[in-house]
Amino acid sequence: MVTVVVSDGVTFTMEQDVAFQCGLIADFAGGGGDQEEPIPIQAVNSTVMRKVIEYCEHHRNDPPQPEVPEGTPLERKDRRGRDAWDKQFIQVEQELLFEIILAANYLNIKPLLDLGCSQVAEMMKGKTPAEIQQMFNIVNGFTADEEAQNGEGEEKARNLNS
Amino acid sequence: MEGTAFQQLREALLLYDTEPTRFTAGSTTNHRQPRVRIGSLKDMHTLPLDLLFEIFRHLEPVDVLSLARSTRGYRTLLMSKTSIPFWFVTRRNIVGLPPCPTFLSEPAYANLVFNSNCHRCKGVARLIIWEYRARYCNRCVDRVTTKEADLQLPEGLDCHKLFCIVKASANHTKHDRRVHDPDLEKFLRVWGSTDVANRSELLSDQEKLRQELAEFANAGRDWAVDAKKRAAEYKVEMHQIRLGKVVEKLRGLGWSDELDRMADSGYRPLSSMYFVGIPAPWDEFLWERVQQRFVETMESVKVQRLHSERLALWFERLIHRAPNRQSVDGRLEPDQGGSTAV
Repeated sequence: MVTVVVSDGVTFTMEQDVAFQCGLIADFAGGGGDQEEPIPIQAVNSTVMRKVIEYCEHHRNDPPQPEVPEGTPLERKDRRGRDAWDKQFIQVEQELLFEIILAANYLNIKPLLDLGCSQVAEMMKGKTPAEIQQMFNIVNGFTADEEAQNGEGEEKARNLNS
Repeated sequence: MEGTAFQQLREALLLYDTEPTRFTAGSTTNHRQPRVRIGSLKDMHTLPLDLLFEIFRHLEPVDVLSLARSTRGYRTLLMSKTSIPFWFVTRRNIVGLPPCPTFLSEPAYANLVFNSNCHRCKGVARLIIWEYRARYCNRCVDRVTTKEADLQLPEGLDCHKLFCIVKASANHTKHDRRVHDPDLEKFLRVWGSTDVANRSELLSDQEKLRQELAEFANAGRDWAVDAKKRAAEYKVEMHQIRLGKVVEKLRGLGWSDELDRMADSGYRPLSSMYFVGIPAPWDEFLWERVQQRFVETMESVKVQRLHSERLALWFERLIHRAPNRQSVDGRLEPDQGGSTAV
């Protein structure tokens, strides 16, 4: 068993195969047997840790995912589809979603990080600039000139590379 | 990536994106159901840049383009030279897309390929004129091009060596080949301000650019044809997979008998349903939400089948009874009962 203590002082005890899905905990424990001392995880609070443990418990028996080569087009990646449970799991409020992403990054859980990031990306896919503004809950801060440039095929940006 | 330049961009992002919010659930004047939840990503700018990069990896160039046009913060971030890796990564998400040519920036390339607006009037322009590095609608294309026959170049210049001369619109005849005015004007401007001694260098540069443009155009057109073909194949593949999954799920719900009867027609009532035709991988979550609609369809198919079977049986009995109902002199005999009791 592995014990961790999170930022708000709550202690979580989990089995080794669950805990070792977090790269950070695996590194802390050094791959050895039971860890007696609780591992401090200061960047994650108990609400997020509960979600992380829920994810790790669900995926504890998953075979290791084949590494997707760098630069594989989305169209091919997407053919794998997404697990229904994962999809349900990541349907959370944005505050929690971003905290899960941060925690997955901190704890080094690549599949969870991918899941969180792809969920955010999914929300933005196919949206117009105006719709994205609504999602950010922000007013259109562009001047008339900038607005014109937005529609002019990024003429100004043409020379960025040169 | 977290260098000084990025630090400045990060600050810009935070500065611009903390402007006061104005959207509220009831403030939209558009009465249509909004496609997005207001404020659903309002804290995204607080994520570190490396995590933003992770998110962008899942996007396509057109989405990054929309993001860059959404707020000043993202515009500053994404339109800077240091953001070229962002664009590079998203471009690699598109199968077979030729690399960004030297004469276009990554955002301009994304805009050319994925934004279907006319570069002049912002109307719809589906066709890319690769040689011109632009999209024009049929109305605008005549205003930004010059017919080959009308070209007036300084003496000694061969327009075919210097410019891409192409049929720029489906409305033009095959003999109506044109030069892109902005390219022509730019060349003539530089030509006029260049010393006679340096003009040969200018000519060789222009010839090289023409050649690069021609190669870029060929590669772009090939990719567009392939992409269209691949999209069609993908749609068919996904349709088959989704139909198979729907059939499997409905069998699990006890509709095997009805499905067996449908198999010969390729499960036609189901295969034409919107959910089956979505060109995307199977989505269990979505299935649970639309499952009831499929059950209702199966129920309606069953009711229709029973109705037609009953009609068929009724007609069959009617036909069998018909000879008995005619007397020798051809008059109809009164109904003996039974034919109407089907």
